[in-house]
Amino acid sequence: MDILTRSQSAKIRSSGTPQIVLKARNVVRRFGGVVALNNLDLDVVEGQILGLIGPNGSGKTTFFNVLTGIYAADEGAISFLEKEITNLPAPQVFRSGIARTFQRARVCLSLSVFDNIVLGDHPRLQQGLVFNLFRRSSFRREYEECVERVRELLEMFAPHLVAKMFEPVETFPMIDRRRIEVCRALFSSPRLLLLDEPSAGMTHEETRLLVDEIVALRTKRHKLSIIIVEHEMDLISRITDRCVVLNFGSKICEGTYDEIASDRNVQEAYLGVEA
Amino acid sequence: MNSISIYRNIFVSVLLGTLFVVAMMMAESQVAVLSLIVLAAVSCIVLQKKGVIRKLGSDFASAEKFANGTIMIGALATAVVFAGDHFILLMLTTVLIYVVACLGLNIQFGYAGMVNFAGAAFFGAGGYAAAVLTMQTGLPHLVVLVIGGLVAVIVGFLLILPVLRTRGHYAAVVTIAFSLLFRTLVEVSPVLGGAQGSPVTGMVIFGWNFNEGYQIAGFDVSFYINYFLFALILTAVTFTIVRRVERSWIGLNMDSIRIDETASACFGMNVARWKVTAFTIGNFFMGIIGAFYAMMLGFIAPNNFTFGDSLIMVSIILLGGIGSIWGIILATGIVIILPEKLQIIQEYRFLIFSLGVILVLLYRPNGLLSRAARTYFPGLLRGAR
Ligand SMILES: Nc1ncnc2c1ncn2[C@@H]1O[C@H](COP(=O)(O)OP(=O)(O)OP(=O)(O)O)[C@@H](O)[C@H]1O
Ligand SMILES: [Mg+2]
Repeated sequence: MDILTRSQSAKIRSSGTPQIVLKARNVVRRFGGVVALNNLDLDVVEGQILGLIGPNGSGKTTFFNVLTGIYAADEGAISFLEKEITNLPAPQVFRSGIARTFQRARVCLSLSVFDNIVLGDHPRLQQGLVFNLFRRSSFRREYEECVERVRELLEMFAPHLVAKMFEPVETFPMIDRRRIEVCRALFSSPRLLLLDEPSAGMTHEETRLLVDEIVALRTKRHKLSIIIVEHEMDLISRITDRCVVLNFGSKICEGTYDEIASDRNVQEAYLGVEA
Repeated sequence: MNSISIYRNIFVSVLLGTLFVVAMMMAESQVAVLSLIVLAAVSCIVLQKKGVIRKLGSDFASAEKFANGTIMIGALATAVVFAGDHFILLMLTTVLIYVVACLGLNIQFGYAGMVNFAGAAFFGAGGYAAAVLTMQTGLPHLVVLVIGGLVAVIVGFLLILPVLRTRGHYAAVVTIAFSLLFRTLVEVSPVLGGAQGSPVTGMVIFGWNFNEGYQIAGFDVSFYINYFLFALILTAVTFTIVRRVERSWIGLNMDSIRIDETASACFGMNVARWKVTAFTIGNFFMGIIGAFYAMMLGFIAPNNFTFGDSLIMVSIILLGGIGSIWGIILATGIVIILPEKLQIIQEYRFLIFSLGVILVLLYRPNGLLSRAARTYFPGLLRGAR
């Protein structure tokens, strides 16, 4: 199956071969008797947006969890930027350049917007005890740099939050919490961004705004690749370069949105008809 | 904003607070003590309803250095008033000792979310280190204090693996078991004096003998003033360090693992590292102050660090407000002084504290003085906007 869109192929012809940043092979994950991921192969091409779709319980979130090191894979291998990352602990997966959001927005509600976003680049902050507790003027310099960087990111995704940067996240509505979560995931400038149902808990219009901002970001950061899990198909059709469809943990189809939408297996999976 | 009015508000409230503490200390009859308690409770509720407390809170926050300095002077003034009174100075010093221990526990429980029901055991570890070192070596007592802290840290390392491997209630059970085990071990250890306990030398620093009183213009000053002053210094140092922990990436990391370990790990955080850090810093403070406590009493026995004392420390944090430094200071004052002044409740103090904790959790889940949102450099923010 051709994994490149036409516009992308054109781009690549001029700049050499497409780089596959993420390569998952034969990934298996079981929960007791449930096979949540069944021999899954999945590639992400640099700069592309991959839609990961499938009915409820088909293993989309499980794939994110296995990829980011929350769950171990029972079988299979995953490499990212040519580096083996199978079953690495979560912090190391993050350090290799993969950041994510969660299906239920998992921001720290009692912490401020600034705190939440700064946590998104934990490994790059100086964490020594002496630095933090006793070299306060150096700490202050790093802190002020972070304020500046958080401000820049907020100006892009949630300008109205710039003035409220130091207020707790619990005071903001769902859409803002989602935006903050996206900012946290982008704060470290990851190479791969995983979005798990960004539309959950938001209206169509709010989702459209948020996703458009993310897509716009890709024009500035060419190397950013995205995997998006989403149930709203108009969104998937609008923004993805390619889609992978899961059903009961297996990949049943792969291709552009138009290709998978016309696939019989996919239609059956969504309608719940036995093949 | 009128900054003169801010300073005035801070000054007046600290003055009233100090006068209240002095009155409370002087009150002899149970009726007087009860009336003072009712007076305080009623005025707090009225002021809260009228929004005065909130206003004062923001005043204190906006002139933090001035506020802290004023409170320090209030504490010193109280000590001067009672300079001749052994009993009251001992009680006030005990409050400060518990403040330091609870600030240590606060780093573990309040920030990193690690419930530790063995607080008194780490306190006791410091105390026994002081007993052995002051009786059997000539080490300077400042060094003894630091070693007391280190001994508590090392004892804590025995516990760190099970604590890291268990979560929530299970971790709590591990610390409860340890607390009981530690006490039993001490009780059967002849080196440490068994159930009878062990004597400890009074503190001497650079020739300043803490166990000697003074005569100033014919007025007898209790030797406890030495312990009070030194405890006040230890409290100020602990306060500063705990504040800086809170206002740094370290405090942020600890908050983050308390709220969501998995998400923290997904953003590159080594969760175990920050748990160990929180546990170590907390135990260090408990050990230091335990060593100081033993030197002040001149004696340490298993009864000085019962499981009940660990419970008191945890309830102080719940009452004051999880993670709230001033809340903990307020709650320690209430929990230590109330049963001393109100003899009638002595026997029921655990019952009353449990009721208090339950009421607070029901009606003020963030404690008496809830923790404010983090500002890394107070004042900076206001200037910037
Ligand atoms: N921690 C777990 N323990 C047991 N079973 C699990 C666990 N996590 C996922 N599963 C099971 O794995 C299967 C895949 O679940 P997963 O959450 O990945 O689906 P999903 O595609 O994200 O669904 P949704 O669209 O509803 O979010 C389901 O059958 C689910 O019950
Ligand atoms: Mg899911």
